[in-house]
Amino acid sequence: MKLTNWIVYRIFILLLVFGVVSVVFLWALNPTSSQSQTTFAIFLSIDLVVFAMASYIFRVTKWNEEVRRFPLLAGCIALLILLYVGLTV
Amino acid sequence: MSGSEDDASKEAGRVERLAGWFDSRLGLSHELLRPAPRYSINPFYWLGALAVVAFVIQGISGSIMLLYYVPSPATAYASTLYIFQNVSYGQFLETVHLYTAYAMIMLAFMHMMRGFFVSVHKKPREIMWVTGMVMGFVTLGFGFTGYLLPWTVVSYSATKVGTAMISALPAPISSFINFLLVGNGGDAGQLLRFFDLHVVVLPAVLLVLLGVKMYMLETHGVSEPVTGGTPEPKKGGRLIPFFPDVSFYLLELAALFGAAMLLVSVLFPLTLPAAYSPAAAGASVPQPDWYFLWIYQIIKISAFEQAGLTWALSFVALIFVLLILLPFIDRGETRRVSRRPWFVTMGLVFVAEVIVLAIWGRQTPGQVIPNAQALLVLGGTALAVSIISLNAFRLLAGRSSNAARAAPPPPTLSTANRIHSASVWASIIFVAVLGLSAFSIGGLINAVVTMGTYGVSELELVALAFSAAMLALSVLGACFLLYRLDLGRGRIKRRVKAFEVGWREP
Repeated sequence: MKLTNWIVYRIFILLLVFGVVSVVFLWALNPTSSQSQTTFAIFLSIDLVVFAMASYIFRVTKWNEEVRRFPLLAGCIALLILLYVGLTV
Repeated sequence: MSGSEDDASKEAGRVERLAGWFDSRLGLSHELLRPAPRYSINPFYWLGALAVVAFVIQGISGSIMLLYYVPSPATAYASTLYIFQNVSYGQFLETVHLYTAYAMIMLAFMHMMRGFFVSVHKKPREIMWVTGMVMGFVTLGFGFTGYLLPWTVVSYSATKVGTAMISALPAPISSFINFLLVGNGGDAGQLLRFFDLHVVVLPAVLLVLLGVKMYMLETHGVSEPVTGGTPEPKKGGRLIPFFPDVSFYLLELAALFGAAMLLVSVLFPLTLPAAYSPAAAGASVPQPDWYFLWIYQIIKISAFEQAGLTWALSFVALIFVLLILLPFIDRGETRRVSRRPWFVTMGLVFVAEVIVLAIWGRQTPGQVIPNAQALLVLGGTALAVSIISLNAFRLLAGRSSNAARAAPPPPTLSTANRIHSASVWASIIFVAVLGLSAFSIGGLINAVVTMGTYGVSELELVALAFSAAMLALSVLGACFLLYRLDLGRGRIKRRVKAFEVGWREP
């Protein structure tokens, strides 16, 4: 299903903000704690998923193709789950 | 013109001159990598690239571990344990290093089998295939040499089994491999050789081979889709520049792959087995890592015990030689899967046998496999897969001839894309169903033979019931898939309808 441009742009901006915040969070972790090893991995994977989604939007928009709902929805759900696990672990 | 504008234009001129100077020397403005066709934006086209991503992750994690690891029998285990316990994120590093190694081997295997099924080895990519096969062996070499380095009881025992098998090879080959891997320096010499191979020699060889393969990829481009047969521009498709379009797509794949690796490493963190000692080694059953289990299981068949070991190794070597020489054996012009039933069936049998042997080997550590059992399991798997695959080909051939008779109007590009996508998914599901049926048959035969040999047990009864249920499920799945693939035009649906109304086909 086609997403309208304004939704896509807002998702793109949100992804960038989300990515920056998680990078800042990564730098704030205590690397000597074994507990933070799990948090580090989860937030790094959040960053990678954010990058993949942002890149997908950039690429598909550049090709004048439709940004499909499924990849964005799946990515957002994955991000929310990862964020929840990262903050509660 | 004001003074500030003048300065700005002079500044821009200097920057342009500088950029031009570098460009004339380095050729930066030329495209480094050729544009790729639109159809190559598909993960299956980039499995090899993902294996390279895994190699890069291993390079980074391995380089950090190199700062702490000491390659000598007295300190190898202690330094590995030190990384686990004292280095920041050490356990995580070790886990990521191991799992990306597993992923690299799995991706290399999938890349090879995809190439086999869609015939990328055919003219003009024969040498690319041979190079890729050698890269695959180097990847296995990484696994073999890296496994020993932690100096655990598991890794030491498995490596000793591997090196002992080498002595069964003909003298010149075994002497050379012994010199390369073992030397005369005892355990210390062997560990140092494995370390050197793992850290210096194999990465260098792999990088050179990667360069050769990239050069050939630049020369020939990615392979055309098997359903087409004509180059992309003639099909109305388009070429897309490598940078930033294809490179961003590859980065997306790499990011998702990296995220998956990180999460798997968090979910299943590695635990270090006990250190090697002769007493501990005597108490444990040697077992290679999963990617060598299929070879190990072949060697455990009782016919190949003792003097037969050379035959077993020769048989495995023959499989590898046939795979390397595939472009010179499978020389037919057609690349379409539907027109290569025998080669595709042989590929499916190979995949099914490798999976069955690996799982079977995992379940029977150290046990010698009776000849009858091996014949039943391996023969049964090969027979089941061959029958299903060849019948599927027969059915598809009937469908295509029916379709040719019906002579439908030429499909539009979007319809063709949808049909292609449906075919890809149908093939994936079909291979999964084949794999499941192969497991089930193997499990069923194994449970029956085990009960016949060691008596009935509750566990074996459960295994028997489970295998039977899985077999039934896979048969039903295969029937359903074949019925759906019939698309209402073929013989199956006609016969089912005929059965419903009590009519017999003349």
